[in-house]
Formats: sequence, structure tokens, C-alpha cells
Amino acid sequence: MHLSNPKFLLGLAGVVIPLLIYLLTRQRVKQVAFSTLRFFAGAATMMVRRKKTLEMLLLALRVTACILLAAAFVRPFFADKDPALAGMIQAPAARVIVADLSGSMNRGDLTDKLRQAVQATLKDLPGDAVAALVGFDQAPRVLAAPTRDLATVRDAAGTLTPGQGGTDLSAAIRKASDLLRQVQAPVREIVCLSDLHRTGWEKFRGDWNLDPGVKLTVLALAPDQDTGLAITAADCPQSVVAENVPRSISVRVANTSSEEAKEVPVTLTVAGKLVETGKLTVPAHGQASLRFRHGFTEAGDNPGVVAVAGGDAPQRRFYFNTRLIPRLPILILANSSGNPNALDGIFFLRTALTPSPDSPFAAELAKPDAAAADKVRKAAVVIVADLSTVPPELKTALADLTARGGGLFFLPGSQTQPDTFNAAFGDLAPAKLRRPLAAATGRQGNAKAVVGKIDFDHPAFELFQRPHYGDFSTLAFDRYWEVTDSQLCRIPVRFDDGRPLLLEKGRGGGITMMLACPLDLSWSNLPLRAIFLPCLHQIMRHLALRTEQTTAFLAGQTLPPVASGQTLRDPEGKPLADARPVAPRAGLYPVTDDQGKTVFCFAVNQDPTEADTAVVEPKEMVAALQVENAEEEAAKADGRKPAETGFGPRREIWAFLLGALALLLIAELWVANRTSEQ
Amino acid sequence: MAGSPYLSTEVLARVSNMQLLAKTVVEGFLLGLHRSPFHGSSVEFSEYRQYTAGEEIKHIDWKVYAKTDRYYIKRFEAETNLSCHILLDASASMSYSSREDGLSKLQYGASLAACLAYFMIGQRDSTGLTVFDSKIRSALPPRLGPTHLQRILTELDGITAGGDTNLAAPLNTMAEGLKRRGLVIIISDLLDNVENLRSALSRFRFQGHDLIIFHILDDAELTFPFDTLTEFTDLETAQSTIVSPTGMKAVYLRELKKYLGDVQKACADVKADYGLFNTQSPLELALSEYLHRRSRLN
Repeated sequence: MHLSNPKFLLGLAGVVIPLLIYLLTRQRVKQVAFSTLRFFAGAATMMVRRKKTLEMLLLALRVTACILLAAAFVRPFFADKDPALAGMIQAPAARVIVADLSGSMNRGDLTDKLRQAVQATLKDLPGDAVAALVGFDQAPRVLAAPTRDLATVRDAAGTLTPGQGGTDLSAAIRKASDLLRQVQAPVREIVCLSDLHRTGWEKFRGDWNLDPGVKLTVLALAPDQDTGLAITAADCPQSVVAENVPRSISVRVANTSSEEAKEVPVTLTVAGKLVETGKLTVPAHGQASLRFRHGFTEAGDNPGVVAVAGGDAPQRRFYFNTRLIPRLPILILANSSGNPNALDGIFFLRTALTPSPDSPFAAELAKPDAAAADKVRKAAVVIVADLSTVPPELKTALADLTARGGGLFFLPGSQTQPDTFNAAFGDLAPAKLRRPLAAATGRQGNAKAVVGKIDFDHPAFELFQRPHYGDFSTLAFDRYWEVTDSQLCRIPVRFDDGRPLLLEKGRGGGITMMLACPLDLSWSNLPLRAIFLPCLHQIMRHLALRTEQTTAFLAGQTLPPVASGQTLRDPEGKPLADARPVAPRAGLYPVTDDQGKTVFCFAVNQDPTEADTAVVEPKEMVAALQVENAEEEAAKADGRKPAETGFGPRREIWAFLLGALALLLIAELWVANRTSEQ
Repeated sequence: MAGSPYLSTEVLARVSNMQLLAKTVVEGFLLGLHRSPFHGSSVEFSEYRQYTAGEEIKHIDWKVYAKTDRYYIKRFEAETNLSCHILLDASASMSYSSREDGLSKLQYGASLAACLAYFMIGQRDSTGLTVFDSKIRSALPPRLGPTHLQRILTELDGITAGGDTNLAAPLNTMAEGLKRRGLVIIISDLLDNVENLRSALSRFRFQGHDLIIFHILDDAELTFPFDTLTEFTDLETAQSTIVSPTGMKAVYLRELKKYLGDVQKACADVKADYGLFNTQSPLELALSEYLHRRSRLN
């Protein structure tokens, strides 16, 4: 434990005050010869003993209160368990150098400038000063712990090499602030050396400040020459369902030079084959986008790269792996078998999911019994159609489905009992059912309910945003379910009276959705409208694709573990020894089986925001983080907390001490009251 | 006490001569009465009867002889038959005093006994005095006459407190010695077992005595005015205990109230007249109590 304000230990002398009060005010025993003691009923000794006990307790409480008050002002804290942060060092001055090692620092001569700047920063330190070095990209790393041996820091500075990671300036400065807390020095300073990408500063949420007295100096480093073209944004689907539909692969390219880049070749390569070459003209200090349309036909992995001509720099390449899923397995749990003559909801559901043999969905109908649990485990989406309850084994399987990223789609119908449904699916369904509601209720005449509002930003509905891509105005509803407890739901579609038609709620890694109207002609005309089929397909795709493995990562991120017998390899094909390695650079990281065959592929890119040329002003950072004495009070008033590391409340000991003091004073009042009654 | 018809106890405390005190109190008390039911009771005319030879001629009423020419003897009431026994407790607990002038329960009780003796002998009731603690320390049998009164007052003048309170033993001894029925006046703080008291009083009552109990307690014993941490030492047993009076007061008063209730009940059971007197109370009140009781005896 360390003390922030050890001089307040003098406050411990305050314990003398209650002792003096006790000694000066304690009652002296008066001697009285009395006629008889018979009326004291034997309680005298007990009461005196109790009074003396209470007085001693009162004295102890008051002494403890003085100690707690002094301790709170001393502001003790625990040292971080990180060995680099352990131990307190006394020094006349302390300086922590924060060096940017993000991908953007690879530009031009920035690396050399960074090393020189670190050396220069170390030069003007006074003798016996303490220095430390923190390198950072999207996460900070202590390269040299606080030390008086500046040669160690210089050695560490000589090996500074930027990687391909992103930038988080505030996290790095916070780490430096933590290091400074381990040094007792009248002069404490943090020097930040970076190209100051604005995207790297935007992660600061304004919820902490540097400790009072810590000076922040920000030195901006700029490359001597422009890097020219760089991909600043890219988009490609990670998983698609096998449909004969071309998919978009788009990139946005920025030009940081002062000359326009004309007709720059941009190539799309999929599975090692050059598929397409596009031409892109990017104005000076401007951006331009290019979109490829490519139909993926190979089931499984489709690794590829979009490359901007002019070099192999990671900011000119975008790696991707689009997995093609032949058919999405969908399980329909229903008691009905879907009678074509009755035109019930199950019939419409099955027909819409498999309108032709080449449908992207493999829909299977099953009774809601315990045996269906195995089928649930193989499905990507399960539709619970007009059921009030399911067996416990099946319910457990449904919960597991959402936990692994699958989708649950509830279609309450005419046979659904609200109370039973709520009891069975209360924790699975996005909302609870209340009652079927006639559309004529609250509407004039026999008017039917219609769709009132659609959230076209929702992934399942963004397809219908453009004109002529879906007409929801022809839908008419005679009845629908009124739902409750939908406060935490996203509601993509509402009726004209504001009640939810479609509800969505995240659960585990997956999603559960509920349509508040069954696919039954006695409830609505939805199954007969043209929008029904594409809308249902979009919802199913939206529900299903989370079960697929993520293929896209950024440099510096940790890759998922591979199965036993498989090997994760770097872009050059060398095996990576770690079970969960951090991807050091951009490229395609194949996973091979024991026979050397590639079974999966991770696409790792440099953080595209590193190519963003917008920078943050050093003054802005200093103003946001550095606390002057006057501003310290303002920061307290704003409720902002001083900079803290991951050890959370260990800096808040003083607050706990004050809390204990308050409780102690309450106890003191109570005991004092009891004592005076004796 | 200005304006009070009674002699204040502050004055009482300063009068050291018991005879003077008794005379002052009793005569002052009698002057304050409008009409005493005992005025001349022992010398009032009773009847006339004819003289018979052999009788002393000094009893012949010569005025009647002059009017009737016959010898008549004037008869008066004989001396009283009432025999009074004053029993004064002189145990150590009776020496307690919380007053600034130091008037203890014993001094108050002795003064009361002196006043009663003065008054009763003045009324020609033969009066005796017994001083006791755990045993009988002195006993003067009931007599009449100023000489006897002087002996009683002398005895009361020299009385000192000491010994434990043990009502049963001395009272039983007294009861055995009292052959003639009379009035028994007990002056004590009664700080003893209530059952012992009841037993002793029952014995007096069984023998046909009338009983008056003057229960003397100090003001501090009745109100427990202590407010600081105090070590109380029992005057009789010398035991001591430290008490925080603030918390103890309620306990003390509760126990005292229970005790007084028991004492009163014991007295009521044996049909004894009971009076609780604070040492702050004027002695005339005690005399009033006696007269009230004495009138009922008549």
C-alpha cells in the first residue's frame, strides 16, 4: 500500500483529542454512605460495568474516527500487481515517453523520426531522473519500466518498430499515468510521440484525467513524404448463402498526395485467381470508391484480396474470406403439418422457405417433442410456430441455439395460449404475449391495421429501402397479438397504432425475433402479398448468419482457437505456435488439417483507419487530459474521475474510509446516547 | 419556615436540648389547636357521692355542704389507663442524613419520641421508651410524672446510632415483656425484611396492643437525587457499590415503591396505623397522627 499525501499522517495526532476529552470529562466517583443498598436490586454493578464498557467503546469509536479521517486524507492506494508498476521510486523528475507503434507510423521516415524524438526527449532529463518507455498501437505495452538507468530506455528506444495495429492514444497515456504513480517526484511529465491520428484519439470518452501535477507534452510527427494511395474503408460479406446473386466487394481509397491519381488499377483476386481489374481515379487529398460485383460459387472458403497498384504496403491491400453456405438449415417446430387445403400458416411458411429446389433454405418440419432437440442442434434458425410450450429438453436446446449465435423466430398463432407461452418462453422470446387484439378496436368502422413504420436501417429491411424494392402498404391485418415487456427490444416494424409487429432482441450470441401476427389468412393477408417471401428470406438470413465463424480480423487482434489436429499458419505458411496468437500483420492466415489441406482461412487487415489522414491537435489532447489546480475542482464537479488503471476501486480506498467514518459517527451517536442514558 | 404554623425542622436541628424542644413543639402545637379533645380530660369532674366515714375530708366539696348541709365527695376521672410504649430504632441506618444541617433520621425520630413522651405524659398517659437496634439497648418502662419524663428525655439526648436493623428480635423481646395492653409506637426506618416486621407486629397485635408505626425516611432515600457516578456504602453492613445514578434511579425508585407497598400492606394486615415521614416533615404532623389515633382509642 502507498500513500498519496503522507503529510496528512500528522493528522493521526488528532487521536489525542478524544483521549483528552475522555480524561477531562470522565466522572469521578463520589463517596456516599447510604442507609441501605437493598433497593439497587443487584443491578448497580452490572450497570456501572455496562456504562464503563460503553464509555470505552465510545472512546474507541472516537479514536478510530480520528484515525479514519486522517487515513482518508492520506489517500492510501494499492500498487498494481504488474511487475513493471511495482515499487515506488524517489526522484527529482520523472518522465514517461509514449511512442506510437501503430501501422500509420510505417509511413515514410516516421520510424526514424520516432526513435530520434525518443532519444532527444531523454537527453534533456536532469541527472538522477527516472524515465520509462511505453509503446502502443491499439493497446499499450511497457517497453521500459520506470528506471534511473536511462541507457536501458535508450536501448529500448533503439528497437522501436511500428507494427500494423490501430491507434489508441488515450489508453497509452493512461498507462503512462499509471507508471508515473509509482514514482514520487516533484516534476512528472508524459511525452507523447505520435502522428496523432484523429481516429486514434476518438476512443477517448472523457471519463478520466491525468493526476494533478502531471504535465502532458504531445509532439506530432509527420512523414517527410506522402504515402499516396491507401484503402481507408472496405466491405465484403463474411458469409453468404449460395444463391446465384453477385455480391458486392467495395473499397474506399484515399489519396494523401497533392497530385491526382489517375486510372489506378485495382485488382480483385479470389482463391488465387485474378477475377477483375478496375480503374480508379482519386483526386489529390481526396477519396474515391470502387465496387466489384462477384458471384461466389465455391462452397466454403473464398479467400481473396483487393489490391491497389503501386506497392505491397498493407494499407494498399484488403484481404477477405467470404464463406459460401450452400443452404441454411431451418427447423420449423409446429403441431400442424401444413395442410395445403386449409391454407394455414405452416403451409405458407414451408412454401415460402422452399419455393423451388434451389432455395437457399433447407426447411424441415418437426413436432415439438424431446426428439426434436437433436434437430435443433443442427439448425441455424428455429421457427416456433403457433406453440404455447415445448418439452424442457427442447427448451434447453433452443437456449443453446441462441447461445451459439443461432436465430429463434416466434410465430404465435390462434392456438397459442398467452399465459402458457409466457411461462414457457418468457426468457427466450423478445416480449410477452398479452392478448389477441382485433384491428377494428380503436379504429373507425371495420378498418384494418396496416404497417405504420419500418426501420430500414435494420439489416433485414435495408434491402427494401430503395424505391420499388418492396411494398408494405398492401398489408392489412384483421387481428394481431398485443405484446408486453418489449422495452428492451428493437422493433423494426410497427403497426399504424404504434404497436409492435416485429420484435427483435439479442440473446447470447444470437437473436430472437417475434412476429405479432401469424401467417394465417384469418389474421392478415401477409402470406398472399409479394413482399412476404423476400421479407421472410431476409429475416431468415439475418437470423442465421451469426452461427458462422468470423473470418475478418485486424492486425493486433487475437485470432480464435483452432480445433485439435488443425494448424494455424501465418501468411507465409509457417505454423503459429500459440494456441490463440495475435495476428502481427495483414494477410491471409490459413488453418490446415493434419494432411496439410486448408480447411479455413482468416483474413487479417491493417486497421483501415490508420490510413485516415485527419490528425488531432496536441492542444486538444492536453486540454482534455491535463488537470490544472483550478480545473481539478471542475473535474470533480463534473464527476470525472482521475486516471485509473485496470485495478478499479483500489484507488478509491479513501472513499471507503470516508464511508466507514460516516458509519462510525452514526455508531458513535448511538453509543453516546446510550451512555448518557446510563 | 416563614408563615408555617409548625416548627420548621431546620429549627429542630438547632435545638440541642430535648426537653426544650419537646416543650416548644408540643405547646406550640397545642396553641394551634382550636379545641383539644383531651383538654383537662384527666381532671374533669365525674360525679358527686355522699361522704362515708373514714374517707379523707379533703375531697369534701364544702360549697355543696354550704348549700345543702350534707357532705358530698367530688369525684374526678381517675388517671389514664393507657400505657404507651415508644420503640425507637437506633440502628446505623438511622444515622443517614442528606441534609446540609445534618439532621439524621435518628435525630428526627428521637425528637419525635421526645415530643410524644412530653405530650403523652402531659396527658397523664404513662409512657415508656425502648431504644433498639438488632437488640434492645435500653428500656424505660411506662411511668407518669415529670421525673420519668426527664429520664426519657435524658435517654433520648444521649442516643447514638449503631448496629444492624433487626426488627424481629427486639420487638419480639419487647412483646414478651409487655403484659398490660397499651399503645405501641414504633419509630424506625424499617429497613428490614418485611416478613420479619409483619411477624413482630402480629405478635403485638395478638397481645391486644394498638400499633402506630412512624416510618422515618430521609428525603434522599425517597427521591434518590444523585446524578453523578457514586460509590454507595451501606451504613450497616459497610458493603459498597458504585452506581451510575442516572440509569439506576428508575430501578431504585421502583424497588422503593415496591418495598413501601409491602410495608404498608404488612401494617394494614395487622391493623397498625402507618405513617411515612420524610425528615423534612414538621414534627407536628406526627403529633397529629398520634392524636388521631389516640382519639380513636377513646
